[in-house]
Amino acid sequence: MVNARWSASATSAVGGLRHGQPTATVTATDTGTVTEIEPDQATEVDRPWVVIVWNDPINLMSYVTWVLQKLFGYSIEKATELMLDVHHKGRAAVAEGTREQAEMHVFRLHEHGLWATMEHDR
Amino acid sequence: MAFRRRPIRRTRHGYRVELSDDERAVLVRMVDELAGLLRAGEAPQRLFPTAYPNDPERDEEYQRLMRDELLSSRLAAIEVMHTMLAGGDPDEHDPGDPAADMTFTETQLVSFMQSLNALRLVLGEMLDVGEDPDHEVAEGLQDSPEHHLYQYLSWLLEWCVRALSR
Repeated sequence: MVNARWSASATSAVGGLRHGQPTATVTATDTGTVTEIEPDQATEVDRPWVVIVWNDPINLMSYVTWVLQKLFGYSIEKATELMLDVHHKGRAAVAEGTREQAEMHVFRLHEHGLWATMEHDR
Repeated sequence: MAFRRRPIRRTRHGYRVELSDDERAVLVRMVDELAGLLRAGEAPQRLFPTAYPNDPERDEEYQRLMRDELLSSRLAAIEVMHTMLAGGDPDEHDPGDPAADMTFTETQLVSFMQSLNALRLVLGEMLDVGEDPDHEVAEGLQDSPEHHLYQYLSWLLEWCVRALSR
């Protein structure tokens, strides 16, 4: 199955990406190595990422509803509510989580042809 | 004229897809063309959306890691759709029977549906489809073959969703 196949291979790729990014600034000095913590680091790590689905004129409303049910396990009522938000307001936040989780959601939404992006929760 | 049958429906044995040989031939040709575009790196950007619209650096990183994965996923789904549609031997079908019927798993039908929607995205972009259902495309394109194909794909996709919805 496409989604299961992805979750096995791509999660590690995304995880690797994250491991490759230091979250603290490390600077070397004459007296040794000093680790400086970014002022907003804790906030940056704690703030969840939000997955946004955007309205587009091509995807069918019924299809978008079905995709939201399938990918996130939403009830038909919840999925329809989100789909209508997308349709009427232009966008809807459909999921949130860590950066890795959000990227996985975005990828799966892209697989299904939905226009999805992610951003930090404000 | 007989009332059109349901082209896709759920049965006790799986998902039954009933399409004429002509319909199957058109769909196979379209997905094969899409596969060619994907392999040549010429598929529309709509099939590879940005993940971080406000952060080019992060998006570049995301695309570098995930674009090939998305490409492989799309090609795998197309392969499933191609096999579903081209798998049957045309000689086995009664020429008088407009429908060649085939039964598939949910996984196969989902791949079929993803590829069908990818075709709609490509055609929809070509036609510059808009929000107004009464004027979906520009005046001059309403009777174009591409618009009729787009509407046919939409109709078929709607039946996929109905069949898969429980």
